[in-house]
Amino acid sequence: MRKSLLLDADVLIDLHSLGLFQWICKSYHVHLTRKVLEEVPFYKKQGAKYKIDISADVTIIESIGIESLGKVQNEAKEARLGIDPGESASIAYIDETDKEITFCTCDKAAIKLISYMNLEERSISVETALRNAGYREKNLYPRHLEKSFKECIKEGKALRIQFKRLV
Amino acid sequence: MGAAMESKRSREKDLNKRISVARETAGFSITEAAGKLGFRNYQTLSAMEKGTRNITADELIAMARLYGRRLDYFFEADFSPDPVPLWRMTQKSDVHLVQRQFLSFLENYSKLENLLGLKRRWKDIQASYDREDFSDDGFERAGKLGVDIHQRLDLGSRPASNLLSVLENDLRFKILHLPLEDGVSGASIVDNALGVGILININDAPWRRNFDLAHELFHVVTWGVFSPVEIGDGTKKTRPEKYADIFASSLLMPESHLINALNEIASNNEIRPVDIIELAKDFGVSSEAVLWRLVNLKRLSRSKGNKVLADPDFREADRTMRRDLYGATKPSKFPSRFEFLACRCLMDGRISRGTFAEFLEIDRSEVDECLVGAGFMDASYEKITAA
Repeated sequence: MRKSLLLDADVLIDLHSLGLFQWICKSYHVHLTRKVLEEVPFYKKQGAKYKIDISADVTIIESIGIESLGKVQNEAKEARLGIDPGESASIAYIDETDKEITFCTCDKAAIKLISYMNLEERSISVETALRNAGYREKNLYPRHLEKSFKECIKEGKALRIQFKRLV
Repeated sequence: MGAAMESKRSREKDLNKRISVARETAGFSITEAAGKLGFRNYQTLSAMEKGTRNITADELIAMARLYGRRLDYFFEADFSPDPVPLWRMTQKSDVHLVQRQFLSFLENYSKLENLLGLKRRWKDIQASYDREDFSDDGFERAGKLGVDIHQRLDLGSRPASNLLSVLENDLRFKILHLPLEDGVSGASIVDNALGVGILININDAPWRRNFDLAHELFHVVTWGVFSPVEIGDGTKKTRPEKYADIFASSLLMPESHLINALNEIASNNEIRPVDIIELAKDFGVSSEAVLWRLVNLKRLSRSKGNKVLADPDFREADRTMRRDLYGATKPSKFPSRFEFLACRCLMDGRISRGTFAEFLEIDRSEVDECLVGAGFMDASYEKITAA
């Protein structure tokens, strides 16, 4: 059975510009929040803009609780991080759902917040997601790499100690 | 358990109130807003505002975007009304939407400064004046204040050429240029949380924008000295508004530099209309501003000033000689410092890429290009994207 993967807007754009979206779709059951789907109508490749039309390939998450969204906003504020509504909605979903689903993001601030909220076990770097899907090429952007993902997780933990006084 | 339920209800009530206030301050009627949000009828939105229908996360996000609010606004513990800017307009206009746009820019800018732990310097410039200082001879006081601020800011012989940069970079004023309706020249605000903000109409001629900037600076420097009612909204020339014009004149046309320039171009001590236009071009102000400055400096009689202004040939020559300058140098909407701070916050992982795109009003797929343009990308990343 394919694992479920929740993608954020930047991963969705990057996978399209690198031509790897279908690779991910073959290996994972891809989920997106409605907000992310609306946020990314285009991706760019060699200067040209292309429309992203994937609603048939993915599961759209429609219902995210307002309480969870508020919780994410408050945690982001406490951690001194500026998170956009799309990332907030995705993290809120990960926080509230009991389903087996992993959040794939390459956004430094979002990764730090995930770690700050102790949700890192439910998140994954783009590199790892692709390697698990059998992709071995090295044409990824630095922000996709497991190394930079881990650095942000570490920074999120440091923020947790700083602002929550919790290890 | 009871306390938790009570707290949840209180939060929901707060949220309902905030979505209603956010809509009203953005200037939308409930029917307009419901239409723009894609609701079939206004009753749906009305029920949300009254708390009889639950709001989903997506709906709240859509409202935040339409009303020009950050999502934080709906969840913050403190709920204070928006600060009110001082507006400058020659005719009554509905400024709700543009006011929210202005405040939203100030909130975003302040957020970046706070995330980077930057201090603000605007309090250095505020004069320790009170109302009494302007009661005897307010015009003279305003003129002297212009001279004083010119010196303190070290604005040089042609202040208009670097005033914007000094205010933005030295004093960390937040200056936004937006296309405003005809008759609306700008606004200013001083607020403890947001700092100093100035809004300028990008559609105005460069000399007009320079004068507006200096005019708004007077209001910032004397913030709290005059009440908003005394100052008015610009539709009437109130006394503080006249002071602001005098201040702007003396700031942008320092006496000694203006007289030196005049002596160089005027022949036989006679001031010709064309000299006034040349001086205006040189100092980056309107010909009318130069003319009245010369009248105030007693270099030109008031009657001659009025005569020159009433001469259609003078108006025509002024237009012709400045035609090329009109659209020559339009400032960018956002200050470069704002863009720089946004880049820094993104590179440090303090804001998400989506927040960056929202703040700079760019498409999310253009974030990398924007960073490269600002010189902020890793060399290795550039190689990869080029490949």
